Amino acid sequence: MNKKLFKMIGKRIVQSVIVLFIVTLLVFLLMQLVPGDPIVNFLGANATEEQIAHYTEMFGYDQPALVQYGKWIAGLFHGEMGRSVALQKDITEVIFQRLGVTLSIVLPAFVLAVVFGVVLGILAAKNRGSRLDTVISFFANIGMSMPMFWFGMLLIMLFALKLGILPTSGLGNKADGMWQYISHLILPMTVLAMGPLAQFTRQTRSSMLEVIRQDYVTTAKAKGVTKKALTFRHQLRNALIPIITVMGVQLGGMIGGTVLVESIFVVPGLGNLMITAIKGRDFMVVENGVLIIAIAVAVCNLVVDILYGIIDPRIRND
Amino acid sequence: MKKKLLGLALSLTLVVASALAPATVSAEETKEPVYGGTVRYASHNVTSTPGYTPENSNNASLIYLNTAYESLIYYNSSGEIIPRLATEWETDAEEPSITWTLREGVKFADGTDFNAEAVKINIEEYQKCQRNETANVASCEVVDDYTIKMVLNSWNSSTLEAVGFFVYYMSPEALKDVDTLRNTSCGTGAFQVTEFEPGVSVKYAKNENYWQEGKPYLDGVEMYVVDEPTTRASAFEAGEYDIILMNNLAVANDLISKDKYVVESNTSGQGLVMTGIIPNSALEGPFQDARVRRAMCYAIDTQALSDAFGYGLLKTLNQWAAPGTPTFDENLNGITYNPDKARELLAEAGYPDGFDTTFTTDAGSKDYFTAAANMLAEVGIRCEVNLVDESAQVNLYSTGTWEGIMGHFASVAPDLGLYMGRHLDVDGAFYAKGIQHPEDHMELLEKIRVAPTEEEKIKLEYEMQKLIYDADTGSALFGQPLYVQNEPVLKYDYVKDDNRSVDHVATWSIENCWLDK
Amino acid sequence: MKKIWKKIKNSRIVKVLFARKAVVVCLIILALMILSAVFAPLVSPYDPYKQDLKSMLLGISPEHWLGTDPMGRDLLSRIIYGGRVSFIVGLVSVLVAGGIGMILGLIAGMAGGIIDAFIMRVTDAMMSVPMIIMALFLGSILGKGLGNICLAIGISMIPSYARVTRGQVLTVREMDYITAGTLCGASKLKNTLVHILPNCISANIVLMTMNLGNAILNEAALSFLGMGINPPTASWGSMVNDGYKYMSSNPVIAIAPGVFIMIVVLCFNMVGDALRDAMDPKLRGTLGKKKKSRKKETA
Repeated sequence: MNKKLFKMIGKRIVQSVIVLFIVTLLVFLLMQLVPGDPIVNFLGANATEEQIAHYTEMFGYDQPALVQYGKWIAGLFHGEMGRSVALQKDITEVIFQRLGVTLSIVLPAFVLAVVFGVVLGILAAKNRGSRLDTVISFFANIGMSMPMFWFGMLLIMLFALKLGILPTSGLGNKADGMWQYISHLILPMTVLAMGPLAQFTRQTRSSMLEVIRQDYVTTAKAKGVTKKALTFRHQLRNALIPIITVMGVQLGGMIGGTVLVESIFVVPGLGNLMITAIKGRDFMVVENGVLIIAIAVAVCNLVVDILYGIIDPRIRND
Repeated sequence: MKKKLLGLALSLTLVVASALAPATVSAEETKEPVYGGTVRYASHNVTSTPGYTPENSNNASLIYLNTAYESLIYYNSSGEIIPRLATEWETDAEEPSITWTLREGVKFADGTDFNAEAVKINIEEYQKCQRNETANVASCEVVDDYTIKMVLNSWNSSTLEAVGFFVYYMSPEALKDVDTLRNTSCGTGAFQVTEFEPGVSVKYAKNENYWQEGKPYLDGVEMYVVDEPTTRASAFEAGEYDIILMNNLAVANDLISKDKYVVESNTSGQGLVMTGIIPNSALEGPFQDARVRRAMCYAIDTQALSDAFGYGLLKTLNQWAAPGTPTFDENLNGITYNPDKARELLAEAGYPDGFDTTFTTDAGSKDYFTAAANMLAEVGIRCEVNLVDESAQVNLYSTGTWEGIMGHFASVAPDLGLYMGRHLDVDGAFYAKGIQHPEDHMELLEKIRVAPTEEEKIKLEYEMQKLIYDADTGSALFGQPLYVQNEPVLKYDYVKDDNRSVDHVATWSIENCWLDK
Repeated sequence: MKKIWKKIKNSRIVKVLFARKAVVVCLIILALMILSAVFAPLVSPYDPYKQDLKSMLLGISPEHWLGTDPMGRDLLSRIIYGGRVSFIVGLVSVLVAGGIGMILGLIAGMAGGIIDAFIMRVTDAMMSVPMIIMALFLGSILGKGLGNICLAIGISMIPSYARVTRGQVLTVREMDYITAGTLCGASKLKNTLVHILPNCISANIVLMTMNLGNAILNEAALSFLGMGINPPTASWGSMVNDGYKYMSSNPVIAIAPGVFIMIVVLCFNMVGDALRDAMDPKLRGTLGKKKKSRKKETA
C-alpha cells in the first residue's frame, strides 16, 4: 500500500458523506410530495379528528417540513432514527434487525452468484464457440431477461406447490433445525442471485476473452507457463478488474433487489419493511431505510475502489 | 326511566354454551376437545402493538386483541350482545349513565385482580389516547369492587356497545410501563404474547391464569402477516398455516373449489364492511345533482357484478345495512339496475349525451370497479379509471378531494347513528368533506343518536335509509351500495371451534379452539 | 440510392449485427412483435377491452388461443395490446433518461468544477437509492397514467446516462481535433455540438438499447408492487400481476405475459450487446478473425 491509495480512499469517503447528505435531502423532499398521511393510515377507518390530531402532534408531523428534517438529521448524529408510526417502535431497533435478515439472504446469494458466475464465465471463454459456450451464454442471457417476481412465482409453483419440497414463504426458525432455516432461504436466494449470476458470467467471459488476446498471455505461453497457472495467475487476475466493477454495482443492486424478492417470499427483511412503509406512508421508516441502503451502496463502492487499488498495478504503482 | 337489559339468563347461556363447546358445533363435531398443539394463523391484518390496546383502533387489529384481551361484552353468532367480563349492565337514558356489574374471580395474566378500579383506569387510558369509543364517558364511579357506573356526557344509544366491546382491559400494573407493554401483553385473555415481530408475526402462549375452568386447550397461537393473498394461499395449501383469512375473493374461490378445506364466515353482521361507489357531490360538477347520482346507481348491475367477482361470497346491498340485521329495511324501495331509467335521469338533469369523469380505485377492487366503469359508460357516464395505492385512496376520502367517483367503504354494523354519522357529519373523518350535508339528513341523524329506545331508533333508521336510498326520491349521497364483504376464513378440518369471524368479523373465540389431529 | 444502400450494407454496424445468427433472429422477433403491437387492431382476434362476464377464465381453446382473463377478455388480444404499452414504456422512459442524462452529462463534462461535482454527487445520490424504490416514489408522486409511469422509470434511470456522457465528453475533449478546432477559433459551444455530441450520442444509443429491456422489467416490477398502469389498459407486467391471483387454477394467465416480457427483454439485450461490440473501438478489426484465432489455439 502506498500513500496514494490512502489519499484516494480518503477522498472517496468525503465524497460518500456528501452523497449521503444529498440522499437525505432527496428522499425527504420526495416524501413531502407523496400524497398520504402516516397517522390516518395508522389509525384506520374508525379514527376521529381528535384522535388524528392527537397522534399527529405526538409524532411531530404538524411541524414545518424544515423543522422535521432538522430533527431527523440532528437525531442521526445521536444514533436516533425517530419513531415509526405504524410499528410504534424505535426505528433503529427495527431497521438493524431487518437489515440482518436481508444480509443473510443477500450475502450468500452474492457469493453464489460470484462463484458460479466466474466459473461459468471461465468455462465459456476457455471453450469459446463450443456447444458449452453457447449453452452458458444462452442461459446467462435468459437469466438477465426474466422478470424477478415472475421467476419467483414459477419457482413457488414448481418447488413448493407441485413438488412440495421447499416452503413457499417466510423465514425458518433456527431452533427447528438447520434444514428448516436453509430450506426457507433457497428460493429467495436463487431468485436474487439469478440476475447477478448471469451478469458475472457474461462479464467474466468477455473480459477473459479480451485478456486471452493480449500479448503478455502469448509471452507467458511461450515461457512455458502451465495452462492452469496461465488461467488463474495471469488471465483471471487481469480479467478481474472489470469483474470487480460489476461486483460493486451488482451487490448494491441486490440490496435494492431484495425489495421485490422479500415481498414475493414474505421475508421480513429491510426490503419488505420499505414496501410496507411506503404503502403505509410511514415516512420516517422510509427515509431511514433509504439512508441505510445508500450507506450500504456507498460501502460497496468504497470496497470496490480499494480492491481496484490493490489489484490494478497501474493504480498501485503510479 | 330505567331499563334493565339481559342479565343472568344470558350469562347462564354463555356458561352452559361454553361448557358444551360453542353453539355452532354440528353433529360430527361433538367430540371431546383435546389439549395441546399450536394453531398457526395467517392474514393480511397487522397490528402495531398486540399489547397496548388503545392503539389498536381499527377492526383489522381486533383479532390480535381478542387473543390476549377481553372486553366487557361480546356478540353471539346472531349478533346479539352477550356478557364477557361484565355479567350484567343497566342503562339510564335520563341521567345518562351505564352501570356495569363485573365478573368476579377474573385475574390478569400477571395475577392482578380484574375489578372496577381496573376498568376505570383502562377507560381513562383510552380517553388519553383520544379514542372516540370512550369520548362520551364523562366520568367513571367505582361503586364497589365489582360495580362501576359510567356517567355519560349525553345519552347516545351507541355508547353501550362502543364502551362494552371496543375497550380491551389491560392490567393496571402493566400499564405503569406502557413501552414494555407495547411489545408484550397483560390481559385477561386465554393467551399472552411471548414474541412480537412488528409486521411479521405475533406468538402467544397459554395464559395459566385464565378464568374459564379448563381452558384454553391449545398450548399456543402463532399469528403471521402475509400480505400477498396468493402467497398466503400457497403457504396454506402447502400446510404451513392451519387457518387463514382470505381477503381476495378470486383466490378464496380457488381454494374453496378444491373442496378440501372448511370455510367459515360471519353470521352476526357485526364488524361487516360494505363496499359501494360514491360520487363527490361537494365539488363542482354533475354529481351535485341528486338525479345524476341516482342515474349512476341505476346504471350499475350490482347482481351481475357480484356474481362475476364474488363467486357467491358476496351479498348485494341496496342500503346501508346487511340483510337480516336490525337496521336493514326489507320494504325499502331501493334502486335496481335500469339503464334506460339512468339515461332518462341524465337527460332530465341536462346531460343527454352523458359526461366524462374519473373513477378512482385501489388494487383490491380493481376488477370489480373496472367492470362497473364499463357499465357506467353504457349510459353515458364515461369514466377514466384511476388506480391508486391504498394510502392515496385513504388520503382521498379523508380529505374529500376525489374527483368523480370512488369506492365507498363503510361499516354496516347495526348502528347508523354511529357509523353513518362518521361519514355524514359535517366534520366526519371520512368521505364527509366530499359530500353534501342537507339539513333534513343532519336533523334525522341527530334524532337517531338521542333516540331513547331501541324501537324508536330503528324506526328513525328506516327513515334515514329511505331518505338516502329511495329509488325515486333518495338523495343518493353515498352513491350505490354494492355488497358486504364477508372475507371467508379457510382452515383445515382438524381446527375445531375457533369461531373465527362467526360472531364478529374481526374476532375468534380462541379459548375454545382445539386441534383434532 | 443504390450507393446509399451499399453504404448501409457495408457499414460496420450492419455487418456486426448480421454476423451473428442469434442477433438476426432477435431482430426478426422484435420486428414482428413491434409490428403486431403497432397494428394491434388488425392482428388481435378480439377487442381486448370487451368484457364478457359470462365467459370468464376460459381455458385454452381454438376460439381463445390463450384462454380468457377474469373479466372474460381474450388473453392473446390483451397480450398483443399489452405489447404496445410495454414498448412505449420501454422506449419513452429510455428516451427520457437518455435525453435528460445526456444534457446533465454534457453540462457536467463541459463546465467542470463545482457544477460538475454537484451534478455528479446528485447522480451518485440517485444511484444509491434502489431504482425500484426511486420509481415507486416518483410513481406515487406523479400518479398513474402511461406518461407518468414512463417519467418515473425514466427519471430513475438518468444517472447512468449522465455518467456515460460525462465520461465521453472528458475523453473527447482531450482529443487532438477538438483542441485543433478551438485553436482555429471555433467557439466552445459550436465545438461541443459539432464534435462531442455525435460521440456521446452513439455511446448513449448503445446504453439505451441495453436499457430498453431493463425499463420493461422495471415497469413489470412496478406493476407487481401495485403501482402499474391504469386499468383497463394492460401492460405485460400488470397482466402477470393480475394473473398471479389465479396461479393455482389458471397458471396460463400469469405465465404467458411473463414469457413475452422475457423474450422481448432477451432480444433487446442481445441486440444491445451486438451494438456495443460494433461500436467498441477496441474490438474494431477483430471481427471475422475470431474463429481463425480460436482454431489456432486448440491446434
